[in-house]
Amino acid sequence: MILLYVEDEDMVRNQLARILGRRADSILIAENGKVGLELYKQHSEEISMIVSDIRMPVMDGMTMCKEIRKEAPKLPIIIVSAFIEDDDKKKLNGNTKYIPKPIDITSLITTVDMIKQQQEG
Amino acid sequence: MLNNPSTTALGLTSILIVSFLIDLLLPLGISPAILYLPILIANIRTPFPAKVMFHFCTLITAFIFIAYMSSASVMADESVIIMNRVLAVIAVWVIGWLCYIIKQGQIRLNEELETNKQKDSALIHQSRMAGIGEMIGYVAHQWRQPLTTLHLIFFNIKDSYEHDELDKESLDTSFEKSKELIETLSSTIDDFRDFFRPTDPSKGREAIDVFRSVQHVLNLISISFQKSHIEINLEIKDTKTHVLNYRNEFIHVVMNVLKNSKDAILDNQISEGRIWIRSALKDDRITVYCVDNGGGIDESNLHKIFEPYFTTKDSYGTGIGLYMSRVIVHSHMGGTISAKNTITPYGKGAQIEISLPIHKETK
Repeated sequence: MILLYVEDEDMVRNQLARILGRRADSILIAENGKVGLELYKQHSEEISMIVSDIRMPVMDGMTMCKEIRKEAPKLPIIIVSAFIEDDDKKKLNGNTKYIPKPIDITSLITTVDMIKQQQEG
Repeated sequence: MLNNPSTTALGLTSILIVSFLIDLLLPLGISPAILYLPILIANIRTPFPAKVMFHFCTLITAFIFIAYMSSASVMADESVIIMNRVLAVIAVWVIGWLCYIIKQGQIRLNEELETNKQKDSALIHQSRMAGIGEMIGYVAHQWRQPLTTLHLIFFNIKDSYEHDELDKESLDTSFEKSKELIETLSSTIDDFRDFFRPTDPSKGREAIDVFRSVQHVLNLISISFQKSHIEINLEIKDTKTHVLNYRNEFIHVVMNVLKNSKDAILDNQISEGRIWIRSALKDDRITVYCVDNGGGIDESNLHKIFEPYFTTKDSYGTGIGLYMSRVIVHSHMGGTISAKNTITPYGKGAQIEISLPIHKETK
């Protein structure tokens, strides 16, 4: 399984990438939505899950997800953010999960593992 | 005991005037000190009301004066003596009464000033207290990121241990990172604690760097503003310009002005909220401009926004913030604060202008 992880904060990204890396065969890392979208386009066939922050410079997570959703409506996306607007919350569907910050790591890992199991099963 | 130097000065001036008038009216050699008694008494704290003391002393003085005049072997026409006596008594009474009125006016003015001062300082305190909830929100935003990172670091230490990957180097790195984050959390608390430390006017005003103060405010509020999609552009040059203020008061003013901009942007649902903070140096003054694209202030309210308890924010506004800012800028910093509407590249908005005298020793 290849996981795309998008986060602008260096320290959070470095730490969480390690945790997520354990659960994926490979992990692609981007520091904003624009880079994330480019990586997705390059590896759209291989990427089977996305974990992304919302508030990021250049391109925010919601805009990136909206673009990706056009091509992959069923791709599992986990939004990890301290800030989520009510409007954005409404856009979350079965394939988009939301984990608030400060991150409950157990909850994030459980969600990732669950999605992985579903995909493998 | 004389009340204060100004009443003493008033008393001395009165002595001169009374002496002059008495000499004019009575060229018979009466002691001005005796005639001044009622006025002097009016300036002394007694257990009786000043008004009673004035009338009592004037009567006593008049009796002493009449007795003196009667006992003196005055070689003059009887009618002139009587006229002089009457005129002298009237003169003493009138001048004494005028001094009494002036003194009472002074007392009332001082009382009024003192009451206003107390009212203002109570409002400043009230405003700070009102800001506590908001500041706790700011702290929460400031802490969220480092707390998340700390949580992840600890998780990774445990994870590394479980996978037998924990060596001294990775442990040291994690330790240093955690230490750094804890210091960040600690300094945030220091910033906020400083902010709420009450002002002690007895310690006097201190010179503060305008740029650093604005920067300090931005450090405190930036994450909260980001959350509200408001971009703050700091366009102040670090000119090392200092102004005098009581501890943290200028920071409070900047914070208030920015909060008003934020409220205007959110209330008017401006999607791309923008705030610009600029400055200009001219002669002995520095002017700080806070410009926003929050829709501006209703023209009919422009002259009212610095009045106490004036608010357009219905349920959540206290109407204290900008009034308090004006009190601080005007009374404590010797500056001016004004507002006007403006047009920015991102739409209509307001501009708050704070003009402050530069602290001379450091300019």
